[in-house]
Amino acid sequence: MTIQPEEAARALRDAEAAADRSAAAVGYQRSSQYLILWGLVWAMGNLAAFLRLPLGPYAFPALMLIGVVGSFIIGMRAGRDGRRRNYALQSLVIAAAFVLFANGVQVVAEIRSLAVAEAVICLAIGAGYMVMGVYMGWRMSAVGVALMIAVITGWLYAREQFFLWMALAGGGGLILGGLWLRKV
Amino acid sequence: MASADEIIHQSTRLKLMSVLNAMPDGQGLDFKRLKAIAQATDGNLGAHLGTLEKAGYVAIEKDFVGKRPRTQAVITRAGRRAYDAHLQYLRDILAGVVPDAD
Repeated sequence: MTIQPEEAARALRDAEAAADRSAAAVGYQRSSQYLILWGLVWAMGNLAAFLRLPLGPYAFPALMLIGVVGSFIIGMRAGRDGRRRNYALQSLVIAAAFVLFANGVQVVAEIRSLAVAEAVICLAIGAGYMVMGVYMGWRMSAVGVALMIAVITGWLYAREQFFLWMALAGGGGLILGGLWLRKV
Repeated sequence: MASADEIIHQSTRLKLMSVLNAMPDGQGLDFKRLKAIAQATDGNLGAHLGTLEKAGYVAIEKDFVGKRPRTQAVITRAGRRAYDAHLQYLRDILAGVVPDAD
């Protein structure tokens, strides 16, 4: 079998492009479960704040704990054989970083308003997704952009109903984003 | 020195192998997703997968998700080795270390 250099170059380009799409699809598939989980956490936490439920102030910390445990379980299920522990550990570290950041920014910036804290945290998460998308694939960046636009729009035009807006646009948006990532 | 693999080199099969090789160990793809990710325009996907399966490069696994049957293609260890060897051969051609490429 004789292969000319031009044909070899074209085959290598095709192979690399297909491998990149495959790696992105694997990343999307894995990330989608976390987005859906944290979208549910966000939607329920905001609904609790919007409805001013009796245990409303405890809703977010309790839901975050559920999110961390859920992330750990997703990581355990995603891994196979020897990698199972690695994925679970990665999930735990990412979830712990998220919880530490969420609480740390409130302490350091002396944020007393839950709405301000949420807006700042969601903007940071949106920016994080944008950066992840550079390495994983453009869809992840698109989810980050959509989240940031949702936060800014809600802050400018729906401040009175911010928690309801964030439950629907923020939490709901993450869930939709997760479902969209699965469709590759 | 690595050598050309005629089975893998065919355009559609090269894309299929590239997609499957990028999957984690033991993880497969159903035909619909495999075709979409590989952007395989060739309608004869089943025949290409059959060729790869016959060569021992791909395993076709059937299972159930709930009550729905699912057929997945998974790259084998031999498939990964053959794919890596073929890509190395292509790189060698570009590097000019394959004497009979012309």
